Amino acid sequence: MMCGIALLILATIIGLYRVVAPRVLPLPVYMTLPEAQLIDQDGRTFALTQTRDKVVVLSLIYTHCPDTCPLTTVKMKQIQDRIQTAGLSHQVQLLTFTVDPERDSPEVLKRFAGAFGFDPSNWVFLTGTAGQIHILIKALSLYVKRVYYVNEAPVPEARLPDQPAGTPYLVSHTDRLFVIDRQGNVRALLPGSRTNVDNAMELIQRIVHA
Amino acid sequence: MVHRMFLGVLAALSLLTALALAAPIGPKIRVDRAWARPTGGNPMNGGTKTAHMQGMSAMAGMSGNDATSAVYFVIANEGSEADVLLGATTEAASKADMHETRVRNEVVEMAPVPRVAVPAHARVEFKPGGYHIMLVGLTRDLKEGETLTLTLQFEKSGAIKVDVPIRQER
Repeated sequence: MMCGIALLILATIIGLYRVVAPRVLPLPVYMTLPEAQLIDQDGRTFALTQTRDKVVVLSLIYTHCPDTCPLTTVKMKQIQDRIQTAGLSHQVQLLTFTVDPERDSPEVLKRFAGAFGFDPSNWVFLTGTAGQIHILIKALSLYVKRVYYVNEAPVPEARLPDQPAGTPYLVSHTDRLFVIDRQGNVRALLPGSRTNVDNAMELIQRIVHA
Repeated sequence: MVHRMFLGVLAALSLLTALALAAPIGPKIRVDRAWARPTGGNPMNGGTKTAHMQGMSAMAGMSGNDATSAVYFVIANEGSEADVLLGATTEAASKADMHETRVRNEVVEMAPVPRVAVPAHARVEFKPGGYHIMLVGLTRDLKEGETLTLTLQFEKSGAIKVDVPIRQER
């Protein structure tokens, strides 16, 4: 008798929980990481497909960027530290690629990465040919445009085509971080330099344990 | 009687002087919490300069370093009148441009800012992701632990020199 009542109470509690508990919707698939052959900060070939068994956090930068990209890289470093603390370093790979391969050679990227104290065990900085970087930019639906400065005024590259090599420029670009599952699908978009690291960790943990 | 009147006038004058000193007329600018990003991660520091990079520096009229940096600080105006920041110069770079980082439709871009108003009894913050002084054409490496001198030019307060520690973001 008592046992029956206890089972009835338990069933009621479970039933109520199912009704009241918030439903966790599955994360959408925004896009898929393409197959691109890039070069890491040590000059080694790096195929994006080699991250397929890991959850990836991906950011974009260019090293001549004075304000936003350092801020994004600081966020990535905070994420790397939090991933290590959570014991997930072997399951999560951080990638940062340049949208300015003309100026960002592997050596330049290595120096940039070192200034932010990156740990190369699960964080790679990537450059490549303009063609390979373009594949990535297109697949991730990124906006990336050069801006030249003429008499102190910014002029988009569309209005100044065919600038001679070496003309200084800044780059306007999408401010975004990507969290990618083990199959290479982008499952979360974060606001780049404005990312809340707590929110990022919540999403990363969710994708790791999916 | 004359003696008393003299003392009264003297007391009134002293009071007026004290009031004038206590509440300054015009802007009263203070610059705090200044810092600049080191260029340890930037392209030209410690590396060999390629012909391509030399070309870049020459075309930009730069003095041998095409790396960039940014300076941040807080301006406090404790006076009773507004002022305007008109620009900046530094011995560490050939150009120190006032910029604002703006995000529009998730795209981040930098916009030159010719003037930054500093209202009376207000603070204006130059911080990552917002207003900053962009340094272009660095005259030397900006190494962590060193300082650079930044001169801010205000419309009413004139030139104010600031010693800027070079450090990574915290």
